[in-house]
Amino acid sequence: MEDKLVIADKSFSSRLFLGTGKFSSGELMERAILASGCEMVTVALKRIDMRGQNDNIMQYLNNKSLQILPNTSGVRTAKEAILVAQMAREALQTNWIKLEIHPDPKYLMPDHIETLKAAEELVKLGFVVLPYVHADPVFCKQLEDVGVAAVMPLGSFIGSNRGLKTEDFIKVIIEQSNVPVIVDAGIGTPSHAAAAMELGADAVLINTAIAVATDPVSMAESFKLSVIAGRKAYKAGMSYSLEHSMATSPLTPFINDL
Amino acid sequence: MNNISNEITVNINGELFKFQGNVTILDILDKLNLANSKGIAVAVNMQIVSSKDWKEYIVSNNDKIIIIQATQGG
Repeated sequence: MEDKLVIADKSFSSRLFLGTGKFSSGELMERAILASGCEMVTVALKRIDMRGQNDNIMQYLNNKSLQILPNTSGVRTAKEAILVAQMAREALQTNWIKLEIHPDPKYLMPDHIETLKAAEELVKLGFVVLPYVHADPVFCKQLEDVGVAAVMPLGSFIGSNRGLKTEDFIKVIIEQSNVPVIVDAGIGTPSHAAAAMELGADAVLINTAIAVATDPVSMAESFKLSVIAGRKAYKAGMSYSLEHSMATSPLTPFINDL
Repeated sequence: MNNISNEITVNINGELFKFQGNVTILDILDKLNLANSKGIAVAVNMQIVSSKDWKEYIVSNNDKIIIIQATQGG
């Protein structure tokens, strides 16, 4: 039986999602997305440059099977997030939104009070809401209660590549959640991604680790394989962990008995 | 001085623009060479204006207009 991930009304064969930031060119991003096998990518929104310097990222994302997940990055309040979500829906013809409200530019820590307010309102407005949050199990349940489609707890600082610093709390979130858990932010290597999947995360979202690699296309494929491996290991049921040895070969006494 | 009374100033993405007479959002997008751009959205004074209303929506003096498009992001 195929191991599909279902978020809202859409099912995904790949449990790897990509962010589109920081790629050195649109062509490279397009090739990395293809190599990753991913079926959902995030995009940001920006004000159009009135002086005419406007890239058109969408020309590289025109694969119809690719779910576009616009984010609300840059907003500071729930009110702004709601407006940006509505603009994203208008511009990109999707009601999916990655809700991220992080007013502090240094640490990009999510503001949970504003996030909860915005999530509640956006759900009422018919959005499929995927909020970026601290690895806070209580807050994830509160978001679930207002109707979000998934939760996206951070592994460590956005763009830091530091890995699963929040592992203990991610475990609790996974244990308790009735919506998919997508580990977002901080995953820096394929082994981090595999570790998140082994914990039982439903998916991971990777951006910097792929976009800024020396060879983003090859790194995208590495992440693809690690996510598959981690998921398979989780499904297979992991063996135990001990503080001492347990022999894997028979400890037959050969010499002394002679 | 008829034409002065007819002039409006609007803020578009943080910059001031002056227009004469009744100007719709579509007129503005046209002047900015954005009328045929795909993947853009417009808000006036923090309220979204759907693309189907761009042709009829007449902007007022001192309106704050935001025009956005998708860009790279994680």
